[in-house]
Amino acid sequence: MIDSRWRKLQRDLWLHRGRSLLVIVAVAIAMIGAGSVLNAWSLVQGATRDGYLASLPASATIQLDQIQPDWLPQLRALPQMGAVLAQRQWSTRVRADNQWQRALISAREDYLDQSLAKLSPEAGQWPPPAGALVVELSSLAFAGAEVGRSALVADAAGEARSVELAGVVRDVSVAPGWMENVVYAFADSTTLSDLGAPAGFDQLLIRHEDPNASHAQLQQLAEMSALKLEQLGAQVVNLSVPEPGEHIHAAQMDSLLITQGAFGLLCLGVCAFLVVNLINGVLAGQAREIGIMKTLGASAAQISQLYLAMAALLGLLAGLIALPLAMIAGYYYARFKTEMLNFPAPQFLAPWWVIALQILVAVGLPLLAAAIPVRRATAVPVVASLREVGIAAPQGEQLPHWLGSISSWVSRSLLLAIGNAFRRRQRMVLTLLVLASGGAVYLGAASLGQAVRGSVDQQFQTQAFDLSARLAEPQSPQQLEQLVAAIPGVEAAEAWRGARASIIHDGHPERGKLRMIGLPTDSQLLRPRMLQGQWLDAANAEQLVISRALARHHPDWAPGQRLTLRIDGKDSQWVIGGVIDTGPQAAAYVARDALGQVLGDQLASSIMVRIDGDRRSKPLPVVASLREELAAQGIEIASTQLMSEARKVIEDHLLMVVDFLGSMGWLMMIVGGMGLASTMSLSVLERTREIGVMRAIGASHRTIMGLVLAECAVIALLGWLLALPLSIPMSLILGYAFSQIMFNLPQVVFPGLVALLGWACWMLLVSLIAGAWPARNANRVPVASALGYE
Amino acid sequence: MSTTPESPLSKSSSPVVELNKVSKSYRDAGGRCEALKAVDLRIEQGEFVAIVGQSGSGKSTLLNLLAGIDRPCSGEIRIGGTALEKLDEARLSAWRGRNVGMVFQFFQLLPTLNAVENVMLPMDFCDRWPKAERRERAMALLNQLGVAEQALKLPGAMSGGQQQRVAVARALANQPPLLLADEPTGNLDSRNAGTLLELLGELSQGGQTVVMVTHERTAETRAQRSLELIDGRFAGGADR
Repeated sequence: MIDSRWRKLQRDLWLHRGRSLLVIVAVAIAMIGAGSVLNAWSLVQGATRDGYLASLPASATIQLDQIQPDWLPQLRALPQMGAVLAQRQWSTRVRADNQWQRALISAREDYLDQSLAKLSPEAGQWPPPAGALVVELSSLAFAGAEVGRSALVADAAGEARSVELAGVVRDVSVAPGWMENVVYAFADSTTLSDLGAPAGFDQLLIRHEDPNASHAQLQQLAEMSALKLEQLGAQVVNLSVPEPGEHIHAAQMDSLLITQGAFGLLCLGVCAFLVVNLINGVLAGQAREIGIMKTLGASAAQISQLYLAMAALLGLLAGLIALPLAMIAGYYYARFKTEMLNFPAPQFLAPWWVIALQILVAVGLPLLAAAIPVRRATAVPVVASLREVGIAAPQGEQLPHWLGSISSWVSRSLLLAIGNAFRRRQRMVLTLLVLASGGAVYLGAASLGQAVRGSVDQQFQTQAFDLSARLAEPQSPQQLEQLVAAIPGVEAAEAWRGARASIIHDGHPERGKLRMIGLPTDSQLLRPRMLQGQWLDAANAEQLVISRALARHHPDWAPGQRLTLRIDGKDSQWVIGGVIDTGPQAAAYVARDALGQVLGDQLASSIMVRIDGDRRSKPLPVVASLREELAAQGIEIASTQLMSEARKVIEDHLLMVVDFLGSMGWLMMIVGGMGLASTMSLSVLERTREIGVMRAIGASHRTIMGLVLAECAVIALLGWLLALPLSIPMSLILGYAFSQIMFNLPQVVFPGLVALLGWACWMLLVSLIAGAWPARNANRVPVASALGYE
Repeated sequence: MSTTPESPLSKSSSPVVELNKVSKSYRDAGGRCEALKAVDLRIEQGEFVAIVGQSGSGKSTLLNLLAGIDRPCSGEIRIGGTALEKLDEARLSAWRGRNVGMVFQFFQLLPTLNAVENVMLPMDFCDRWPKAERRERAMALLNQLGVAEQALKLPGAMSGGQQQRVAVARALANQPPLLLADEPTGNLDSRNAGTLLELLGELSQGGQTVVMVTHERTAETRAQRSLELIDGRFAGGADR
């Protein structure tokens, strides 16, 4: 038989079912938010780690000018070398649907070699048959491609060639094509050279024989390979050694999930406030009952057990609702993430410890939140508990004195509503904190969005060109500029020179390569915003200007500092002249002529083009003309990139994070609305007699409802006001987190007017919705019963 | 009822209630208020004592002190030989559950429990009766007080008289040696008030010590002994 105490618990929960339900739903929402992030994180971790390691990823990639077939056996014979694979990646454009897309077609020396950088055939034929392409899975839908159909591929001369799409393959080592706006495809080397790509291979993938080798060991193997290749006569253009076992976007995804997890925790914190509010409300309403139970012999511990069990039960119910939903949401979120990372879908069930942790939090959080109010309520002396009448304003909770000073210009009803809002100040503070936390996240996300958009705008304002084309072979800049400037639709053209440099420190090259861009010192197509120092000077050949992103990697670099760089095997001296803001791109800018002097020629490796205003919205004909004109002059374009596409890629990456943060703000607003509804229902319940008196002396239903709704609106507006200062540290935290995930942003700490007013409107709407139910309840009790209410 | 746990007071030969120079004062908005001034009191087992007085005379304060729900500023209170000032809050709660039954003016039944559950509640708190016997005992008490047919009703569905009988049954649940009643007839009509006083008298005749605070003269006449409190002192001098 159930003990009468537990019967009381059951019935109290039922009596307060509206508020109990609100708390259950609010805790469940927070649990779904936090739980789905945790589930997704564990599933993504498992799927990507296992999937990536199973693909036998390359330990290093070495970019060369050309690979001779006889170099490969010598490279394979190097100590610790596990596998070597030669390939070529050729940039072009394809059209599978109704628009041209940038494409990166790879040809491998041997597709059947599965000892390194494994590809998983998904559909159709594999390996790529002669004259056909096999599309990478993540590019398929984005390109609008279908297996068995043909696509147009622009050959080296820019002419469209029809090629069959023979199959689909998954390559987990690349970021998804849909996200990068690139169609990844594979072909055999003959097909690639038929399309006009240079014959043979120019990229080597190598793998250490020890799958657990450290980054230092991989670096050592890569440098040893590069040295061997240089000894064999190769020109090493670039060498990259990724972090072992980490996918290309793994760090970003981890940071993103950690940030999301932090907001999940914030949501849980907000829910804890709600539990405190509910338990406080229940305890306030039952102060006398607690006194009676004590009179009947109940100890403080026995009474605490009752109310803590109530809190734990609410949490358990919320957990039971949240757990399966968090599992489903987490799975789909993880699937989305793995799709973004180009991995197969994860398994459905999260690890057991993740599920156990969620159950523990669901029960433990309400228990913790309830502990203090329960302890406080049970410590009240019995006499005081028996005297408690519920609706009297206790000591220190009288109406604020300043209300008197505004009474002459505010209506009596509004004055009463404001006064009512302040009657239970502790409860109001908790409610305000809940509402203001949501507001701070929303406004912080709005500030972040503003900063992100500002940063992208800034980057593309800096780049005053619409198109860049990389040449297969360097050309004379003057001839190139003249040729391109004469193409219809081209407003301006500038030939630039690119190079990779090693930073020499104490006579040794540092790990990694520095991207150098040589451009005219009076460039019209790069309009840098100077952050420090000054722009390039034609008279000062050794001057170098660094981007802010590069300066971030080298915090010790400052204008005036001397650098030794190894470019094309030759060491040269440079002086940092200034720092410019060019967005996330890490590069060093030098005078084109100065770079030419170091390289021993005066050539350009790329051409930047500004398209005239009329054709800027439809740039592809200009791209085609550019390819045609240059091909006619025997100049081969290796790849082209439209800035509008580059911008879209960046925005797709960045706004995903901002949108997520905004959605967390919405989630918190919903939870906050529930908190407000809970607070107001308690407030109305406590004032049942007072409302009865008002109705007895002539207050209409409309007046009472207006009073309750006005009180709601007062709290909501105070929550909005409190959110303003809280949004400032929130913006700083978000900006910092974003800079860890993506790149540095200009600091925007004050949200825009639109966001401020928008949030105020939403808060008012939420307050009306949250207040509607308590306002209705206020009028439902008959006046006679209300007057008798204690 | 199969078992009858022994009350700690049942074999005591000393007075059930013994107050020596008990004073109690409060500080409120109007300043310091002396509710009881060095009061002495002795009540023997089986006595039915009415404490009467005007509002503010200190009678409710006295009852709270006897119930151990308030503490004196000075003096000694012994109930069944136990000095209450020596008990901390936790032990005082446990002591109260076993030794004192309280009946309130406004009944104070827990609104979410039905009559029989309300009566079982003190038994659940004090574990004085085996779990399996509690319901049976609660029903027997309700039957004794003539409200057995109300057993499954919530307080809101009962009349004032019925609620007060259930409250008395609840007060007797742990067979306490001392029954305290605070204005028990204050919220009842004359017929129900008469029945309740008759009931308290019967309990007293059965050996139950009853102390009732009231301001109603008719209630006062039903008690064996009547003590009047005036401004925190018993009328007619000390040592009652």
